[in-house]
Amino acid sequence: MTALNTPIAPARVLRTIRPIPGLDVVGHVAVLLVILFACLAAFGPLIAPHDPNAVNLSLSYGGSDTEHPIGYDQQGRDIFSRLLHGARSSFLGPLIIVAAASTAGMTLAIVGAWRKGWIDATLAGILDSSLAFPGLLLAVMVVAIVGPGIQSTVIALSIAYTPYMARIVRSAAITEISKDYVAAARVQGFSALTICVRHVIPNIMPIVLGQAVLTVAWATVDIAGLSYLGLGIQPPAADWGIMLANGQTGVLQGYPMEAVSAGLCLIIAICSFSLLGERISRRGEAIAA
Amino acid sequence: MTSSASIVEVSGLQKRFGNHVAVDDVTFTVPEGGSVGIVGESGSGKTTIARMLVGLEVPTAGTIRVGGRDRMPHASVAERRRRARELQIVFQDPYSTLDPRQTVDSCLDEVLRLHRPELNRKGRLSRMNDLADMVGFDSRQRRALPRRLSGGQRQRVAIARALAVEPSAIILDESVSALDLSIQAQILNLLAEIRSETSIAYILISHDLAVIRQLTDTCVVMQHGRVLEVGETGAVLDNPQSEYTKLLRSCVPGPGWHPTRLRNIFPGGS
Amino acid sequence: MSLLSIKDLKVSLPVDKERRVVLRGIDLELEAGESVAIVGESGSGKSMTARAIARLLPRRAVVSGSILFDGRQVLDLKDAALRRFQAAEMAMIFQDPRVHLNPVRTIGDFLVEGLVNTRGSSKKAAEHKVIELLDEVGIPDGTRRLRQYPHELSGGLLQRVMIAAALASEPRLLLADEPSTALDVSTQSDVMAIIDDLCKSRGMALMFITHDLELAAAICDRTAVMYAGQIVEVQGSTDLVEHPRHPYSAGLLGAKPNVSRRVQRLNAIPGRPRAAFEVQNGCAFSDRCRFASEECIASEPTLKHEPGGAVRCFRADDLILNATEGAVL
Repeated sequence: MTALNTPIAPARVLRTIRPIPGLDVVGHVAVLLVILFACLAAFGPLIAPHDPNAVNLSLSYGGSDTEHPIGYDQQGRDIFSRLLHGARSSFLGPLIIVAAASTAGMTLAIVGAWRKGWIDATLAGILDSSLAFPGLLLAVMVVAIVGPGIQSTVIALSIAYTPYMARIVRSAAITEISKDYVAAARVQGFSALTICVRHVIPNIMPIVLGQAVLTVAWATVDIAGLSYLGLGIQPPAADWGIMLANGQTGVLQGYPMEAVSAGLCLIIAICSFSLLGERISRRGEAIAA
Repeated sequence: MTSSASIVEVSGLQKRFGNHVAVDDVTFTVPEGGSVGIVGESGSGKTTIARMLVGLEVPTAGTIRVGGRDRMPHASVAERRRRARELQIVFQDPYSTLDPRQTVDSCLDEVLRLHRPELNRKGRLSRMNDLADMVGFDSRQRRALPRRLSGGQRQRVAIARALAVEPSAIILDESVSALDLSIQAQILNLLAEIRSETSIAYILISHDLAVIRQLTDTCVVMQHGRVLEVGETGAVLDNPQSEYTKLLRSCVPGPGWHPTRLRNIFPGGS
Repeated sequence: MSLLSIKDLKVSLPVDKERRVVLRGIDLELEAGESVAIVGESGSGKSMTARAIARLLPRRAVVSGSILFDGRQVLDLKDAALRRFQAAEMAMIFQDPRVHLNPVRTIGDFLVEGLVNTRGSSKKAAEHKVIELLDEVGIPDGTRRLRQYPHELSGGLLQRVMIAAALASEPRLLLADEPSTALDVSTQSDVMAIIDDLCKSRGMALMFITHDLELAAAICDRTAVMYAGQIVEVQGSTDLVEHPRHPYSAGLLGAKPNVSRRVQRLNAIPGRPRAAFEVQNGCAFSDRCRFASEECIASEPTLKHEPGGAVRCFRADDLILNATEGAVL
C-alpha cells in the first residue's frame, strides 16, 4: 500500500514485478484482493475493534469518528466491526459449498468418464436435467422445508452447484482419459483409482480450480441474496447480505453507509474471485491445448 | 498352432462396433523372441487388434492366448499386472504418450515401483540408469518434463517405460510413423538393438512396408479387417501373392518408380 | 525469365514475445511448366516457403527479400491484385483437405462458387466445367458427388476435389504442400499420379513440398533439400537421389528403410533436426555431420552454384557421397 504514496502507480509496479509468471496485471490485483479477503475471513473477527452485536440505540445512525471509521447502523452497532465479522460468515459458506460441490462433481464426472457406457449416460442425463433447475430455487425450497439457517442453505447450494462442476470436469476428464498415456498406464496394470488420482486429476486440476474460484463468486452472491431475503444467515449475525438488507432502511432515511460499505465489499470480493477464476480456467485450457 | 514356443496366439479374433466389423476372423502367432509385422492401411483393423491384445478393447469373438494362457476380459488387478509383464505397447502419437506433468525419471520410477516392488530406491535407480542408457538418455533429459523433449525423445521414453516392465513382447503400434525420417532411423536401430540384446518379441503394426521389412521376420497383410496373406516378410514383399499386397508393394516409391493412376480399382462407394 | 524467382527470402514469426527466424535466405528459380520438389524434415521451413509464395503467412510475420512471379513482386501485391494472384495465377493444396472445406456445404457449392466468383461464369456453365474437372482428377460420377458433403468422402477423394478446385482457375503455378502424406499408400500413389499428369498436360509449374526424397524424384525435375530454414542442395531429382552432394541429403537417403532389402543398421543421422532459430555460427548441419571440419563449425557456407545445381557445403568437393552404402571420403 506504500506504493500509493509514491509517484509510481501500483499497476506500473506490478507490470514490472509480476510475481506470478503468465498472469496479467488485473490477475495480480485479483490475487492480492482474494488474499486480502481470505485474511479478513480468517482474522477479521480478531482485529475487529468492537463487539459487532453491541447495541446502543442512542447512537443509531451515528456518524464516523476515530474509533468507528464508518459509523453506526440503525441499532447503533459499529459498522466497521460488523464488516470484519461479516467477512468470515460471507466466505465460510461459499468455501464449504465449493469444496463440497467440487469434490462431488469431480468424483461423479471422473467415474462417468472412466466407466463410459450406461453409467456415464445416466450420470450425464441426471446432471443435465438438474442444470435446468435453478440453484437458488432449490435453496429456497430446502429452506422452506427445513427452515431458514446457514446449514440448510449451504447443503442446498452444494447440491445445486455439483452438476455445474461435474459438467465442466466431465468434458476435461473425457479428453484426458482418451490420451495414450492413460491407456499405457492401464496396460501396465495400474488400477483405475491410481491412474485417476496420480495422472488424470492433476492434469485437469487447473480447470477444476478455475471453476471452483468462479463458483466462490457465484455462491457468495447466492448466500448474500438468501441472507438478504432472510432465508440464509439469521440476524443478528454480522453478514454482508444481512447488512445490505438492514442498510436499506438507512438508505431511505439518508444514512447509506451500512448498505454501501457491505455492498462494496461484496462487489469487490465477487469481482476478484470471478476475474481470478476466469484466468485460471483460461490458463488450464491453454496448457491442455 | 499350439507350439509351446509361441508367446502370442490369436485365433478367430473378431471385433464388431455396432454393425461394422472392424476385425474379422484373424489368426496368427508370434513365436518367442520373434518379430511379426501387421501391415494394412487405415480401416484395416490393425490398431483394433493391438488394443484387443493388451485388453483395451474386448473381442466380440475369438481367443487371445498369451504365454499359453487365455486372456479373458474383465481381469482382476493382480491378473492385469501379471499380463502387463507379458505384453506392453508403444503408441503412435509422441505428444499424448506421456503424462505432461511427469518427468522421465518419475515415469520410469512409477512403473518400477509397481512391477519390481522388491527393489529399494537404490535398486530402482540402477535399473533406471540401465533403461536410460538403453534408449540413450542423459541425466539432464531424465529430469525434464515431456514438453521439453522432441517427438523422437518422447518415443524413446515410451519404449523405456514399456521395457521397464520387462515384458515378453512389445506391440509397436505405428510407433515410428509420426517421426521425422532421421529420427525414425534412430528409433528403428534402437529397436533392433534392444531385440538382439533382450530377445524380446515384437508385434510391429505399420502401414509402411519398408519399416516392416527392416524390423520383422514374418508379416500379416490385412485389409478391411481380414487377413489376406501371412508369410516370411522377405517372401511376402518380394513375391506377393494377393492382389492387394501387390498393389501396396507397387505403390512404394523407389529408384525408377513412377506413380500410377488406379481409376479401375478405386471403390465406387465413398 | 523464370516464372518464379525467389531471392534471399527471409521470414521470421512472433513466438510468445520473441521473434523466431524460420527462413534464413531462400534462393530458388522455377521455370514455367517445370516441377521442383522441396524436401525437408519438420521445422526445415519447407511449408513456410510455400506459404510465403502464396502470401499465406500469419499477419505478424516479417518477410524480406524478393519473390518475383512472372516479373511482378509478389511481396508487394495488395488487395485486389493480391486476391487475383491467389485466386487465378497460383493454387495451393494442403496435407489435410478437411481443414479447408466447410463441413456444412456440399462439394458442389464449394467448387461452383469458386468458379462463379473468380471467372464470373454462370452457375450452369460452372457446374458443367466442374464435372469435367472432377472427371479429370478421376472422379467419374461428378453429378452425384456435387451433392455430397465433405464428411461423406474419403481423404483420397477429398484431396482430388481440392485438386479439381485448384485446377478450376487454370493457374500457372501449383503449390502442393504434402498433398499425399495423410493418405494411405495406395491412394497416395494415385493422387501423386493425378498431380503429375495434370501439371504435365497443362504445362503448369509445380512446387511439391514433401519429406520423401524418392517420391520427390518420381514426380519432379529438380529437388531442393532444406535444412534449418535454408536450401542446402539443389539438383536434378534423379542425380540427387543417386549422387547427393550434401551430407544431409545423403543422410536422409541413408536413413530411409528400404522395402526391397533389409540392412543391418540404418545410417541414422545422430541428433535431431535443428530449427532455423536455433542455429548459431557455422554450418547449421555441422553438429550432426560426421564430415564437419573446423571450418564448418566456425563459419557458415554459402549456396555455391555449380553445373546442374547448387550445394551449401565447404567439403562438397572432397566428399563422394553414396546414399545406400553410407558416405565415404
